[in-house]
Amino acid sequence: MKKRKPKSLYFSLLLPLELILVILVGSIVASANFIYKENVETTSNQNLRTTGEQLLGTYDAYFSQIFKNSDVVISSFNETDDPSSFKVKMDATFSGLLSLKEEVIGTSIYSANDGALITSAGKIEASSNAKNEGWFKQTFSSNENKLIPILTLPSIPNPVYPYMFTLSRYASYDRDSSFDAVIRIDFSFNQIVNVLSETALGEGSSFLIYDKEYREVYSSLPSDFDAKKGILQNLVMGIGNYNLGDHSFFVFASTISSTSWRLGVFLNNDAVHVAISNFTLYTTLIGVALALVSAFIFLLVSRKAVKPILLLSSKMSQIVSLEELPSKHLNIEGSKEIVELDNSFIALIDRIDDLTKKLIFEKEEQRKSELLALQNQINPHFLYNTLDSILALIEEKENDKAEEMIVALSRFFRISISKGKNIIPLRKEIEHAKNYLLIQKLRFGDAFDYSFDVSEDILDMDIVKLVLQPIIENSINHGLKEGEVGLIKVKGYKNNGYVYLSISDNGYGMIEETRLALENSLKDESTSKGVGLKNVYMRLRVYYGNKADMKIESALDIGTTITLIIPEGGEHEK
Amino acid sequence: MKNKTNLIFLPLLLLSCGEAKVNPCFFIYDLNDNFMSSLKDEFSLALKEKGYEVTTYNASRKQSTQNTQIGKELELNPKNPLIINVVDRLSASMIIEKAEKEDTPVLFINREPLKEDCTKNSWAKENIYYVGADSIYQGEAQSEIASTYFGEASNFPSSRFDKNSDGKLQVALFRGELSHQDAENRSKYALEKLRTIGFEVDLINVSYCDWEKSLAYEEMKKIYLNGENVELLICNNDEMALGAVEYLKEKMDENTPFIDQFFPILGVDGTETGKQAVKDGYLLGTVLNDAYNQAKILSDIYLNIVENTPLPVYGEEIKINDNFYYVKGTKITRNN
Repeated sequence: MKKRKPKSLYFSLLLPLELILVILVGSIVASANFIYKENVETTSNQNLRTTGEQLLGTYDAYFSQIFKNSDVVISSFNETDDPSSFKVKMDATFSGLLSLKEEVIGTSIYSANDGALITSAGKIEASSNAKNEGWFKQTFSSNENKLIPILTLPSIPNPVYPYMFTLSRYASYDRDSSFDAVIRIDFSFNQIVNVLSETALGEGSSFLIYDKEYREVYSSLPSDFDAKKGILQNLVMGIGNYNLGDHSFFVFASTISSTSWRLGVFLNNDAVHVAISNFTLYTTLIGVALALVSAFIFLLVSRKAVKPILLLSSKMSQIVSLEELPSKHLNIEGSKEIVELDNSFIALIDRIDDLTKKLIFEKEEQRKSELLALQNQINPHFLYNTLDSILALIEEKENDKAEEMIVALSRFFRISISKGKNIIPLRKEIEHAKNYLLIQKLRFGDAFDYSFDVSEDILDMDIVKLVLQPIIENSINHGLKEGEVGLIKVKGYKNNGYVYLSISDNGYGMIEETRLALENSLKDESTSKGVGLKNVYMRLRVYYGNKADMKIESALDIGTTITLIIPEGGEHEK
Repeated sequence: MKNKTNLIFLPLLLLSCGEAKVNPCFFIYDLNDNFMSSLKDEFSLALKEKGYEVTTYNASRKQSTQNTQIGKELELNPKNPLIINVVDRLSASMIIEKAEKEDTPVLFINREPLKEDCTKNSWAKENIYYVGADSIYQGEAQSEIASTYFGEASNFPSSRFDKNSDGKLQVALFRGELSHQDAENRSKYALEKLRTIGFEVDLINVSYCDWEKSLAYEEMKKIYLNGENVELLICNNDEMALGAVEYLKEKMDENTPFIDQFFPILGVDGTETGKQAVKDGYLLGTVLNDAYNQAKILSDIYLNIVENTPLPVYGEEIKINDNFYYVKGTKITRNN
């Protein structure tokens, strides 16, 4: 699989956050819009429906009142005891009706048989015979029409009453059906139109009254009917939302009680649509703004988070490119974690720095001590002195001793050199020390004795070479009392994982201060004087590390013992 | 918006229903009307046998409420025949027009739509039905009961029933709702029948009581207090007849039979209380407005449309005129 190029921390921080936010904001905006639209439309439709129903209620009430009026006339006619008293009875009924009902402007009653006027009252002049009038004929057009009120509009509009209509109704006379009649009541619409025009339906809203053939009876907005007829024919009944021209309408259609007339209410619904589109616009804008602002903030935040990391990273890359170690104080600012990281990084660099310096120093010291040891290998003074002693022995014809010394010298140097190796078996080191002691003993004419006591089990162990000889040399030079035969004892044993090699003399010894001063000078790294003891100590430390040690014990007039302590198991490091 | 939602829900609805049948919907003008409510019960019972659960909508005497209910049902289950007892018979034209748009048959019940609305085109002729009482017969039947009680019309003038001995039959008429076709027909044909039989009818009182007992009680009170000589009271329904009885019972002398003491009273409908009143001798008789048979025909038509079940052949008691079914009903007197 192809390995993808790792993305910058920037984007891995920024992208998911922004994506989540955009999805979140997007879905909030979408659902808010959906809920708002549903709510507004439902509420608005309910309100509009209520408005439509209220309007219908007004008309229902108006017309049922009108039919009650006609009921009064019809029952009053039917309840009349005697046909001869029709005129008197109806006149009384009519005048009562006219005085009580403002909307009634004319009343009349005609004989159903021949259309002759029985009596009339009111402001509308009644024809003397109704036989040929349309409304009159309509009441007879079917048996059913005899049972229902017939509503008609005047064929020529009345100038005084622009909004008037006529109710005609067949009135049966149960006592003698030959006296059946037709009543006519003229109503003025003006009153209710005035009332309703004051009812605020809202800008652009209107209502229409029409018959079942979709002919206009009344329209609250003039010359409005034809445009709306199609919608009403499509809807027929109930409610619906329609667009007409640039406007949207909530339409409500119903029959008006007890009539075959219908009411259509057109309520301007633009405000709702404007409100919805405004809401959509604003929420979308807010959503986009939110996404942008958040993107900007995320950018800032992630930059702030990433910047110290970038600094740190460039700081680290300086190490990789092996240029100089970065300066300690870059003053990286950032979160606690970043600061801690930076501090640890600085500590790491410091540590590397220290270790490197230490390593360089130790290497230098090693080189110096090895150089010294090398010098010791072929100490010219020792060589002169030994050769002088051999010469003297030869002059005194002490050839055996001279021979013995030459052999010892030869072995001494062979081991000293050891084919250039630094590590040799302890057995060899002991032999080296013995050769040395032998040479010195011959030179100084038995001024001292020596003994070796080394455990067999450590003889094969490897050890840094030339560590015993400088200490023995030291003991001979400083540890022997004049006029007394000195004794130098070399011991070797192991104990508890350490190998102990001690060289003791029985000379003057040291007071405690001197011993302490000597011990301190061993461990003081600043003094680099090539004293024999110190050279040995340094080399032990270089080869065996901190576990190796040199102990100095001394008692005045009794002697001094120097013990080398070496960890068992070889060198510490090369 | 609404339409779209319904378009989404409609298939779901159909799916969820699966084999389940769409419920017939019964739109009733007022559930408090005893007769209509019993008609609805009979209808539910008849269809329950066929596995249908009838849903009832109560318009509470408001046509606009009923229009809304019908509109909702048409949206939800178009093609499911509607059973409608209209509040206002003149609204039927609009309902028919709306139903035609959805191609949904309509079964009108009890309130008869105008013939011209039901026969205006071939769709309406095929898909609009009416089931109701034969109100002409009911009116005539009332008079037949009276005539049987009075005996030969020619003998009436000298009989005990002609209380003022003027030879004429003094009749009071309590009418139902004005312009209700049943009220008109019952009134008209009851009077006509009396005259045809040979009675000289003197209609001394006509009162409009709007089918209601309480109004009839008040009207009876007026007539009684005026001391009018009533020889027969014809009411367009039992409720009004019982209203008159209720007032007269307050004035009754316990020792004389009710009818002898006052005058014979006739109702229509044959409601339970009406029948009881006939049994107890308060009503001379009533004519059954046959809820059972009307409901039966309604369910027959519904099943014919929905399940293609053939319509049964009806007997004499049903008058059929194209898609208009009129149920005659039977006379109820003390003798049966």
